[in-house]
Amino acid sequence: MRSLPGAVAEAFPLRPAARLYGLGLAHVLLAFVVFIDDRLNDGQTSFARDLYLVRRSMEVEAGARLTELLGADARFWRSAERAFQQYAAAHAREPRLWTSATAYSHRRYARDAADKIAVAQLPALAVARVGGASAAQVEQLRRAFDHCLIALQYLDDVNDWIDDFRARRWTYFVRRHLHDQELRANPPPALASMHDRIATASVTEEFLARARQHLSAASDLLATFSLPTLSAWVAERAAAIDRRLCAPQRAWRTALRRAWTS
Amino acid sequence: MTPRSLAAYDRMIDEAYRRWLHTLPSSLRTIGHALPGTITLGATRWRSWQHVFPIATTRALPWLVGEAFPAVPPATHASLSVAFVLGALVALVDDRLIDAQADFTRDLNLTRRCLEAHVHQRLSVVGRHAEFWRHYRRAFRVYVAAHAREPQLWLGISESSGHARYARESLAKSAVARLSIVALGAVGGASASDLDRLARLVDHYLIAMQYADDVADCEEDFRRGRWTFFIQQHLTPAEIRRKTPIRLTQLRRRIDAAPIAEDFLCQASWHYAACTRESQPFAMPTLRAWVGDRRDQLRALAMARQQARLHPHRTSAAAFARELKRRWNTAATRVNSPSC
Repeated sequence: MRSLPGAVAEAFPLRPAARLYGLGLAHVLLAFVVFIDDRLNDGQTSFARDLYLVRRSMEVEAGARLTELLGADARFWRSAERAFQQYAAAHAREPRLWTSATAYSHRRYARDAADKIAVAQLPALAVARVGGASAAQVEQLRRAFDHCLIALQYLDDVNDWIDDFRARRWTYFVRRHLHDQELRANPPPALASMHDRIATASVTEEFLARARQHLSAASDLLATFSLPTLSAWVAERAAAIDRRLCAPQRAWRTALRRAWTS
Repeated sequence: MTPRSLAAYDRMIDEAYRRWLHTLPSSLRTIGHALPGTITLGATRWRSWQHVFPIATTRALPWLVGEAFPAVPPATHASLSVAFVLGALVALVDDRLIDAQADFTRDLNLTRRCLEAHVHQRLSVVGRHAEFWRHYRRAFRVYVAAHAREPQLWLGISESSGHARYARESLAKSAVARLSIVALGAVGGASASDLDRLARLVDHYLIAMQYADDVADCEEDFRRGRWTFFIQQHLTPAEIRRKTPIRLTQLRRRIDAAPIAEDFLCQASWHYAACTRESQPFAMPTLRAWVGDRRDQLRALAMARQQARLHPHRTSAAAFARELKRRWNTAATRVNSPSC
């Protein structure tokens, strides 16, 4: 994902290449700013003068590089501001979701996941814009990136649930294994109990299947562009999920065959 | 600028902020409403930018500078004027957070993030103007460096060696504020050297304000532990390093007896004069008139202060601070007069 602008440039080449490198730097800086903000907002990192000043320098450099390349593209800058507002709204909702047992759905989960990271897509979309993509094509790419990011969020939540649980970050995946009272309980349920619940429930498979669906949707949207690196990356992730989803069935079939033949 | 046009300008920047507040997620709107009021430590709810930046010339600086660039479309001019007050607000919020005068919270951080994006969106009208982005990067570089050095200055670890350094530090901290003005010049077709001149003009204006502010607000700064260069000039090295305690009454007595306040007022006056000089090639009659007025006022105040110091029975530091603020406010409203 760190080379997303480069992958987009396969379909929308920038000349000279230095312009692409400029946006490549803007991409990693913005992604890192979002990462620092996440940590600060969630209280995982303490606020400090020097950290704040470093973050400020990064966002300034990313903004300057983007504008130097794009110029006064009013449509792009309006959508950029909207991305920041969606980002803020998703982050503002987050603590309420952790501490209350309000109903949550895959739809809301997908929206929040996409909004929280939408800002980091801006340099990649700028590459497409400057490389000659129409407004409709930029929108199509944005939707494809959203699907990729949502899929990654599903996978992260499944893979990192132990860390999330220990830090009391009640992600959607963790919440699906807790009762309403347990969300506010202190102390929370034991880790061993969570292991048992996750092993016996089918939420992991459900989340992996959702991630797979989003990757398929991304693949469909990307199919109209000549983006070999990005398409290969999506296909590789989808295949890995397929293998993971089939593994329990394969293990069950092997066990059955062994029992039958012994 | 006539009173009517100033009133229209104030309405425009107030209305633009209100409209922006409505684009915020509902949970952040309350903070957006409270923010400008909170940072001035006055009213808790924002009503108008007039309360945040009471000096009309300061909040209308892009408008006054814009007199020299009639080719800038009115909509762009208005947009950059709003970017100016919002950019100053972002810098003030950052100041408060960095100096731990405001607590870092998720919602404040998110509101600030939206504000920052909005300012950038407005500044993007400059487009690919390479010279502007050079100014932009330099402004932030010196801003970040000055903030990083600040705690050492307060604690006296790093010696503050004279007015040159003080001017440089205060300039660096407010460097971001000049960006909208430089953007206005860039959109208006100013040459690279004119942009540099514009930047210097705003710099002198802001340094002059800082000098006068430090004298006027010295007691408040002292109470908050912000030992500015002006306060440090009245302290011993041990006091600056907080090894020897000092009370406000002691500081007041020292200020009464020393010529430092006069020196600061003269410095402010000198920077207003430099601002007038830098504005010569541009057609900015309102700004020039106001700045010239301030230059003369501060020089007269410095002389009055000298008289007061040499005849201490006639006045006191508190009375002087009151007089300074009164004259400051009088000058602030003078821009409203038809003669300007």
